[in-house]
Amino acid sequence: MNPEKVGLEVAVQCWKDVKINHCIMDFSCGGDEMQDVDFVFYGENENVLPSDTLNDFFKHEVFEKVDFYVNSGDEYIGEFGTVRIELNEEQADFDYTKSTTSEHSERITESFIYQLTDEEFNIFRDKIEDINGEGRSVNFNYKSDCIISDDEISILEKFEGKIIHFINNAIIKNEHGDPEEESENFECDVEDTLNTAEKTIEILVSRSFYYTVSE
Amino acid sequence: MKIIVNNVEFPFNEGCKLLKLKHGSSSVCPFKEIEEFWNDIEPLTFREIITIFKNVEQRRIGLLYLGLENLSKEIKSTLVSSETISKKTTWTNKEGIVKSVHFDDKYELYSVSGEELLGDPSLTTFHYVKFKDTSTVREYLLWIDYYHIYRLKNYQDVTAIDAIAWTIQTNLREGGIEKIIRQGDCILLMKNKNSHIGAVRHLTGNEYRSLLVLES
Repeated sequence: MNPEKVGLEVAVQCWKDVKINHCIMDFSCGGDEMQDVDFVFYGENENVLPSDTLNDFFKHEVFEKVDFYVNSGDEYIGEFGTVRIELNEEQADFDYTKSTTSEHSERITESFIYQLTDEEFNIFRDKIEDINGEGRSVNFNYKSDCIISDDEISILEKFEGKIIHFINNAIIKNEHGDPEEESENFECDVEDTLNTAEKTIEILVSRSFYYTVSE
Repeated sequence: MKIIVNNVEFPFNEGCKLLKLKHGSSSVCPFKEIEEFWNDIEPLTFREIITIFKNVEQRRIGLLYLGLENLSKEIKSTLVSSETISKKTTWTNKEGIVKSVHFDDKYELYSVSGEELLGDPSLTTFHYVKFKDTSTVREYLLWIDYYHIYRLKNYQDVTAIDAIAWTIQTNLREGGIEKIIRQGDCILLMKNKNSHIGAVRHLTGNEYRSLLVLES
């Protein structure tokens, strides 16, 4: 049967003929698209009943009757869940009940004061304009052309290991949800934040947190 | 030790040679750490830049300070073709007055052997077209695929104008261009009444020679 031609009346009659109690549709959407949906029809005793006619009917009808939020944006990733479909005999139509869990990813940035050693402070003061990176590597941007001595190379390599450890273990307050793996990055404007009295720099650490909201 | 030039890291020896290239042979040493032997440092050559630096950022900085003039001087190239197009155009001067200007637009096509360029005699011959920006008089070199143009011209000799035209691509079919206006890398093609969209192709020398009406 052509799925376009299955009407409500035919669908209601088919539902009664096959003796369906309810239908569960599983869905998942996000990233601007709906994933393949699946309809399972259950009888009185939770026995699964096949119906190509109703499958064809609901795969169009459900999108007319239920809102799905497929467009990801800002913190919203998408949603997944089920739609329970039951026959409303009085109105000769179907009732749709959506149970959904929406997925979110929130990026939180927090400022940390990082204590430099005397040697690190001297290099940062004289040669480094800013640094940035993620949980695995560090980029140094220099103020101007310069020569980096072997001692300074060694100091910067040790600093790199320490700052990566610091970034990966920084505890960000006010977060909710689970930290996303390898989502950390950081930046530090050395010229603006270098505290010459305390020998510290201010580092902005960002990390993404995943959380869900169920309705 | 390592040397930072334009925020890119270089090994110490190559970094010293690059600093010499950047600051000039008769310059004052920029760092006291290398003052002692600054006068003995030889600036990087084109071949060294191409063969030593595998990192494109390092190569970019090297070529930036080598400059086109040094590049042209260093590699022994042969003039294959030269052609000057005389043009009349209108420019607005500083006082806002529109003036009619005559200028000569000279294009030169050079070849350089693979051995000369990269020290590898097994490599093919390379070609570049040299021309001037008509408003700034700055010189530019563009590498071109001579043999591709040669095939496109049904195996006839390639001229400097064929070469510069080849650097421009369009999807307008031949015969469909009313005129060409050029401002540096920005090329504007005006369609004529017979214009049709087709496959992307290179401009021909004839089109460049006859349809280019304005340059700045």
